[in-house]
Amino acid sequence: MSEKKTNSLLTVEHLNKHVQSPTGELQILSDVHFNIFTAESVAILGPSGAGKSTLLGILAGLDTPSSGQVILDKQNIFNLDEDGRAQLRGRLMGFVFQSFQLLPSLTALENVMLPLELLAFNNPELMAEKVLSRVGLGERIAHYPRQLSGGEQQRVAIARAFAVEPKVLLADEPTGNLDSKTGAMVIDLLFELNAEENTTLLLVTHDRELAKRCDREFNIDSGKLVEIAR
Amino acid sequence: MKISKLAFRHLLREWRSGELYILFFALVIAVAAVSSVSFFADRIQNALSSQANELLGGDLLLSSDREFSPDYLDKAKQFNLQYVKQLTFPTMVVSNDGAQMVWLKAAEEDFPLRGKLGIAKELFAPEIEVSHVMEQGKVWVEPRLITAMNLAVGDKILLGDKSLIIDAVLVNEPGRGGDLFNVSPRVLMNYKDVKATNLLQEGSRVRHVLLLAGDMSDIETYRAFVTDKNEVGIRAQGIRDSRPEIRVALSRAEQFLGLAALTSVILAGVAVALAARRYSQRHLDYCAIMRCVGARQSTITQLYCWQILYLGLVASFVGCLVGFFTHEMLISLLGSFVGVNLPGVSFAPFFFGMAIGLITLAGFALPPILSLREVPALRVLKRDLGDFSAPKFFNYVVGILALSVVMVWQANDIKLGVYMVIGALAAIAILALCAYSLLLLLRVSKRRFSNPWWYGLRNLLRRPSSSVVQIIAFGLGIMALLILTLIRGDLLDEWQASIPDDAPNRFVINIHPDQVKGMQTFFENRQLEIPTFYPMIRGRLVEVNGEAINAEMVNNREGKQMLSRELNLSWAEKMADDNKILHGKWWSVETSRIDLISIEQGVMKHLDVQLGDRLKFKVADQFFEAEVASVREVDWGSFGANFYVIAKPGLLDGFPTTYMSPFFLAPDKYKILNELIDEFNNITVIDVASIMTHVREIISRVTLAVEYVFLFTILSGAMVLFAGIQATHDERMRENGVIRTLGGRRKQIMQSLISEFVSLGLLSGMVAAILASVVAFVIAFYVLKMPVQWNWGIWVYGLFGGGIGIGIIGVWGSWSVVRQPPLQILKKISASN
Repeated sequence: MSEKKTNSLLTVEHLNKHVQSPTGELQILSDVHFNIFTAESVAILGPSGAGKSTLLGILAGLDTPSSGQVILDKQNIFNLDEDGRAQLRGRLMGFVFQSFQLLPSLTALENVMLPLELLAFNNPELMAEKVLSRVGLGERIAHYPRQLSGGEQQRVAIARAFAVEPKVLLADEPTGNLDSKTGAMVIDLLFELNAEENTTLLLVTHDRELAKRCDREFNIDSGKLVEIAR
Repeated sequence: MKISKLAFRHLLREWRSGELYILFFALVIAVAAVSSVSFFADRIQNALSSQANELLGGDLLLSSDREFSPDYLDKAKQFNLQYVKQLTFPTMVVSNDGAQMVWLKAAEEDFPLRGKLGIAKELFAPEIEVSHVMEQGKVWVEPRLITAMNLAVGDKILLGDKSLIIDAVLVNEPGRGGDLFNVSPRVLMNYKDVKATNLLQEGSRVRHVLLLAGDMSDIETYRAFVTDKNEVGIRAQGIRDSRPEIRVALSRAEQFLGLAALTSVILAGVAVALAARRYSQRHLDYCAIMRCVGARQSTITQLYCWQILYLGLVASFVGCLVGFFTHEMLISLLGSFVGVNLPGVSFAPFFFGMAIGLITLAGFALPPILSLREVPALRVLKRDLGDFSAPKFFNYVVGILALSVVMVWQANDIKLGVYMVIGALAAIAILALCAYSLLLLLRVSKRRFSNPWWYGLRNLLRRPSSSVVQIIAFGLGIMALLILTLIRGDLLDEWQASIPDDAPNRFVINIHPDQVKGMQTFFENRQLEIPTFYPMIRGRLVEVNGEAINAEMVNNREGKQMLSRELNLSWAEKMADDNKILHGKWWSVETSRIDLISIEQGVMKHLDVQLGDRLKFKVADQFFEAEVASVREVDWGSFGANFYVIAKPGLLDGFPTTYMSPFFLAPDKYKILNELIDEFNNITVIDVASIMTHVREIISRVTLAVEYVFLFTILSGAMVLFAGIQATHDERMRENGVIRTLGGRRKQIMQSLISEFVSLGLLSGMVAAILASVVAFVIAFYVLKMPVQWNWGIWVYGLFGGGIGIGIIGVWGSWSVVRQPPLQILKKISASN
């Protein structure tokens, strides 16, 4: 753990996000700051509407903050334009979503191949097959999302996220759409891969048990982020 | 991986998953419709032209008062054109009974290059068709000469120094259409015999003719060569330049076919636009994910551009193939009806089809698909972001521009194309206005929509922009179909009716003024309707407002023609029924002034003559001058007696006048002509029946062609309906899945679907009927220049056809929504989420 903590991968400084609403200005994130180190697993806990997804969106560069900065791999991501952030995401990040976000018109294999192709990897098909086998779906690579169960769909999404060997994996309520047994299997897989690939995991969840499996836990409420002492 | 290759792989995946079917098939049907029309029209039009050219004897006729220099022949050889040389000149025929002035034509053996010569073995015997002129030493002569000189087939006549045998009676001769009013009987002889006659001396009044035939594009190039050479005294003449009846029929044929194809293009554009909108909506997530995993905006743009290009090329190619085979099938189906050997297929319709496919796709599909680059990556977390379901103004502009280009190109007539573009734009604006008004009306209604029948209507209301787009699409589709129905029914009938069955089929000319009364009695005694006799004077226009004018001084071909020959002049107290005054007014009998004339509008247009101008004519060696009192529109296609210039009675008294009379003679009464010629042996009877038969044939074939083209338009219309229904299918599926889960019964959903689609159809049909009437009126009145009658049928067809048609197709297209168990629907929804 001590070795890990020497390398800060993601630094968040004084992050604020507010939007205009009919009732006035709405503060969604308020002076959020923290550090995440290489190969660390971090959980962000909080009730619905606390700002979890907004924070995740900003960390991934999908959304922009009102103020503050996010430094990923020594680079302030908001110094980059939208396309620059997209490239950075492609190179460094993997995503797992609550609603899987698989493309219905693509097979499992093609879904996993998509980021590899966009990043111009050589032999994306072989790489995708390998990672799908790793998540236990070697036999189902030609299936479309509608032909897969929820757990299987999420495993395809995990395979897609790990296919590009990201430095950081962002997971947004990855078990939110799954029953507890399937959810547990998916989480086991996520942690296994995380350990194998030495990936930094940032997990947004409202499941306390799941959060406890991470190295550190943060709680977010009304836009304020506080680390939970263990 | 190269982006083009990646795009190709993506496209294949999309294809396998079925996402592209609608867009692809919309485009295939669009291109198939357009290209089959284009292939068919191209061949029919070439056939019509070549059939019409049969009247000329070739595709192009050059005439000159000097022998053609060798470069004209060399150039013809260079373009692989067939050619024959001819000479025409007036001369005397001598026989045992005396001498007679004739119009002699000497042609090389391959004459005619197009069409056939009609000969008979004796006077009024059945016609035999032959494709070459006679061998040397023989002549074919017109019936008039046989009668006038009391000759028979087998007799000898003397032409100059050469004695020739009358081998047959010349009944029908291609190439005489242009000089219908030649007074002298005609004699046709072999070109090689001319020298032996010794008739051609220095200063002989001889016309050299070079008749050419070949591939149309080569003919056009050759014609351009002649025009560029611009040699004085050489005139080039295609069929379009000669017979006005044929010219009018051909240009109308082209307009009808163009119009039919245009409607397919409009419908195709609408179908592609609807399919593309659905495609882009279904790709919002795709793009969000791509952005999320690192794709730049430019990557997405390139990726979709390549995909669109591949899709466009493949779909257009398939469309062209389908179009080609469809037109082949159509021609084989029509085989016995078409009755002419159609010329081979040219590549032009293929390229046209490909280009139309790509332009249509670029104009209608590219804007919504390219807007996908704007999809924010954040959509992966917030699904309500980046929904471009509301079409952008820019998309409409690009679509309309593409449609305009396609329409003008397809119409092959800027005026007709622009009318159609304006018509379509006005239609869209009015359709949108009507649609919004009705939706607004429903919105302000206080009625509670609890009944399933009302629920359907509320569906229209809940998706106002989508409803308006659909009403516009359906309205345009129905409008195009209605216009074509109008064209096919009303306008075509009107056109055919413009040549009545008893239209004059014979012209008697060269009637001496003293013979008019005798001829009236002749007709009366045989219980035939007494025809009208028109005075006729041949005169040349020499001065306008005191200034000399000649062919060199005008720049247009028509004007040059008017000034280089004598015009038919006449006088009349009353104007003919089928003429119409455009400017000025017809004279009243009371007006004491007699130096007034009325001119045909072509004279005004091509010679820049204005109302009130004074024109001076030369008739033989006399002159007369008169003021233009009115300008008339003349229906040259009517087969009646029409004159460029009509004078007030009295003005032309004392000028050498003959009379002419067009009349109808039933085919079984042709023997009366013998009696007529016997009694009035100086007159000339001209048979215009063969020209009329050709025109009728052209009209009937065009009617058939337009009807078949109409089938493609219906197919394109159905495609619009299908694409429109598909565009809202997902949303409908989702809603109805939820409704059924919440306890809605199939019957209720069915009722709501029926009410929604029938209302949509009724509304579209109603607006389409209004617009169709307006557009058809504009086209008929201003473009085709035909009278239009109000047709209540289009209201019935518009409303019922729209309501029932869209109702049935809509419910059928949405049937899966009713049929599928709710659980299955919900699973599908969650899979696509």
